[in-house]
Amino acid sequence: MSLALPLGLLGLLSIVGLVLIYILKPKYQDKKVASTYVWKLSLKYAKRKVPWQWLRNSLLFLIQLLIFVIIALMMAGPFFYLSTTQGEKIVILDASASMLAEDGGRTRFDRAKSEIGSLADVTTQNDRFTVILAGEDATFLIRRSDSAGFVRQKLSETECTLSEPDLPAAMALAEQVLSENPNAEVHLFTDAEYEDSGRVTVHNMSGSEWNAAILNFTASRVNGQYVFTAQIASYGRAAEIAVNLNVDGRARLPKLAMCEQDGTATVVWDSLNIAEYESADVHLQGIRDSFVYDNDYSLFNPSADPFRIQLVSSNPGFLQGALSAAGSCDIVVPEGETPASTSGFDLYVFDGTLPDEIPTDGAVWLIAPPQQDAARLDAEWGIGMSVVRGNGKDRYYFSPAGGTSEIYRTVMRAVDPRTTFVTEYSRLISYDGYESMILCEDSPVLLTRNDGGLKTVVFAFDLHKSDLPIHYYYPLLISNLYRYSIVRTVERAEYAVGEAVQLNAKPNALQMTVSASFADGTESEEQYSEYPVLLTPERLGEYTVTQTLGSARTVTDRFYVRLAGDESVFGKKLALLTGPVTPPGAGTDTNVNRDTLDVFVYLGAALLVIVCVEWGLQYREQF
Amino acid sequence: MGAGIIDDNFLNRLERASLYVRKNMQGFFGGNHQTRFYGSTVEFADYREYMLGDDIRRIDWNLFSRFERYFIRLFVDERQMHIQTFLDCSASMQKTDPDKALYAMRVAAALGYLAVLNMDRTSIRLIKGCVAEDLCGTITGKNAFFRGISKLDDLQFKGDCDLESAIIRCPNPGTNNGLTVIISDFMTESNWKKAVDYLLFHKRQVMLIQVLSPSDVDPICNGRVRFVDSEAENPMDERNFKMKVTRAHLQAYREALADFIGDIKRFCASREVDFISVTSDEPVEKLLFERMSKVGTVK
Repeated sequence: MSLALPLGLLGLLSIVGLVLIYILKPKYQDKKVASTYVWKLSLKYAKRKVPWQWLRNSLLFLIQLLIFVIIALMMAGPFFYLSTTQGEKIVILDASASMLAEDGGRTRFDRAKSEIGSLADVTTQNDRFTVILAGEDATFLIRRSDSAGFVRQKLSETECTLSEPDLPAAMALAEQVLSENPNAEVHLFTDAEYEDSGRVTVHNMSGSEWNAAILNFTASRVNGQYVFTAQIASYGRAAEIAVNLNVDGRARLPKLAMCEQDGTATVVWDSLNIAEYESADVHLQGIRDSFVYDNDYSLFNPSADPFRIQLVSSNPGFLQGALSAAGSCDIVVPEGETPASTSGFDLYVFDGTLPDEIPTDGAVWLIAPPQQDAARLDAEWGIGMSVVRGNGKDRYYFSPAGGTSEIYRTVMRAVDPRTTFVTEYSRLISYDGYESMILCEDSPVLLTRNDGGLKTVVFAFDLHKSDLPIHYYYPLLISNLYRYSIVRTVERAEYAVGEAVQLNAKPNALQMTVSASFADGTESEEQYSEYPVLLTPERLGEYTVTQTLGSARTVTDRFYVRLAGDESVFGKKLALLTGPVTPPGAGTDTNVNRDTLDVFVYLGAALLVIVCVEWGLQYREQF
Repeated sequence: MGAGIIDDNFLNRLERASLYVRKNMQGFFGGNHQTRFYGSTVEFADYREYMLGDDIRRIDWNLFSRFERYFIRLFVDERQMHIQTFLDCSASMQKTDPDKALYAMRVAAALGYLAVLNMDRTSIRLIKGCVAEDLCGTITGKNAFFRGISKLDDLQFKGDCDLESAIIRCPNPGTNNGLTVIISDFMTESNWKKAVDYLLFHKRQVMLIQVLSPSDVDPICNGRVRFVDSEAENPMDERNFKMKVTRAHLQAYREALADFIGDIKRFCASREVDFISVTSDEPVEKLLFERMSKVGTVK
């Protein structure tokens, strides 16, 4: 029940007056009787015969109290909102993956569309109809239309998504409509139950569906061997589910998951003796459930494809240790007369030397370039070197360059070089295109450059003539430079539907091809030439990113796209649905007012009856 | 004589009635009440064989001729009874309903008149507190009756009434020579049953007349009421009390009154005491000629 004038409830204060009257009114009236003898005898009769006397004594007061309450309610203008088919409707259609669950050959989404169509048929006769699709994003499917045919047509063209519903965004769109007609009803067609849905009328489309699901699949390394763990769930019924595991294409012994209704079970393969793998996948065997999108799950091992680093140094100790600690990588140190390679690596480190040609398929670190190659350094790398400063004894302290760029923050994160000194360094006279990281006597000694994806880091001093390697931040600095220099094509091996995926290309990648093998058996392939590539996968499956580098080398990365969030969970019971709020100062589209039932008349009738009852009680007491 | 108490028309009707007293009473010589004793009236009662010392004039010679034995004729004895009336003069008889007192006085006067009509002696004792005052002594004859009854006009009903003490302390409660009538509402803590037993011990024929006012029978009140007993001496008297009266209480009162009267009836029945309960709105004639005739006290 709603109140048109809540201030009318102030009328309840009159109850105080009623109570005062009862308190202040004369307590007893004197009545002279011939003898009180029989009256005293009668007391035991009255006590014996009227057990509910206290209630009967107070009945008049209670009735009068009720009269005051009803009058106060009438003053407040009570009314009910009617749940009728009249009035403008805003329908939010949940287009999340779980709405694809089938029951009787029709999905929840189809059933919802059918009901929405029926609702539109009735509503559009007098009022307007809005449908908001809540998928990965929330969009208006139909906005304030008065054509049932149009609504049905748009609904028939609408497909469900595999992402999570963006209900907050859908509610925000609903608020836009409410700003025009604050009386519009809001309906949500979804598959979850809400304890408190506020002003939103929730239509639960879930039926008797059953879903066997793989909620999670992980691989962890224990004692040098991989242990695979799958979390299996069964919603809607208890089930014994056979789970198959394939590792690098080879089938392993299936396991049985015993799931209670709406319960989960964990399946572990811990004695496979697998020290290394590239991919693994699990799938539910022989399951015919209502929702097939979570019956498979793939896993790719990112450590199976480590970065390759070439470290050319006469004394690589300091660098090799720090680089090994920075991340998973294979470090190749050419020995003897073996010439340094200029291709096939993700990072090239040249300590005290310059490469014969500039590597183009990886980042390059130049550490203490030799003075005799100053001309080449200037010509090929854009670094103009002058004299060597220092005599090997005097200390020259570093200072941070103080940049504000993203690169500077990445490289200098947690690094404080002010207590670090060098006894000899090369002063640079030109370094166009480079950004200074660390200075020494106002001359840069650590510089970075990103030339179209080809990243270069220059150390203008010999690590062996500085105390830098013994400082605590040295591994941090190397790690920061490592992360700056080498970027994975895909950060993770697993993403959810609708989640943004950034594909970073190798420095000299000529072409990037993204091919996908979806859960329903279909495949797709797209090529990209501008990087980084931003993908928002909308389908489940295995995605393969293939890059063709300038050196004709082919680099392949893979990731898996799974269902988002808890879309596998059926029978969700949620506590609160945050509905749309009518914006302040909303206009009123008066031709589409919501139906209400004014209860003033009914209260008046009740008041009349109660007044008659009160009068009867008074009469009975007096006569 | 106070015309308000008893008028000539009423007296004329009383002329045709008489009081009936049980025959086991002895009384005094000279009355009109037949007893089970043999006397010298003209009304034949029985025969008895002649005994030495009997008056030979009473020998029935016809029987002698038939049986050759001497029988004498016996005649019914007629005695004068003493009709004693105890009148409750407490405040409860008048304060809330003056008709109640008037009614009681009219009944007392009527009974007294019936007594003197039958050449009986009558006396009216006024119970005030624990004392039974004699209104006008023992009356014989109409003139004395009218003189005595005129004192009822000035009678004040006030204070309380202890029936037990007043009757037991009465100097002349009587013997088996007549009828004792107690007129009261009997709404008292006093143990009047003891007084009745005392009178029965003295072989009196006892009759109780309970006079109630209409408001006693069917009280009209509701809500929060402080009942003030008419015999209460001060507002703090323990006989006063408060209660919230509802219909249920009124019903309970009626049931309590019915039980109270029933208790008196059962007591009276157990001791062969006549009992009549009347309300003051009921005509006195009805009491005398119907109710009392029904119990047999008035013929």
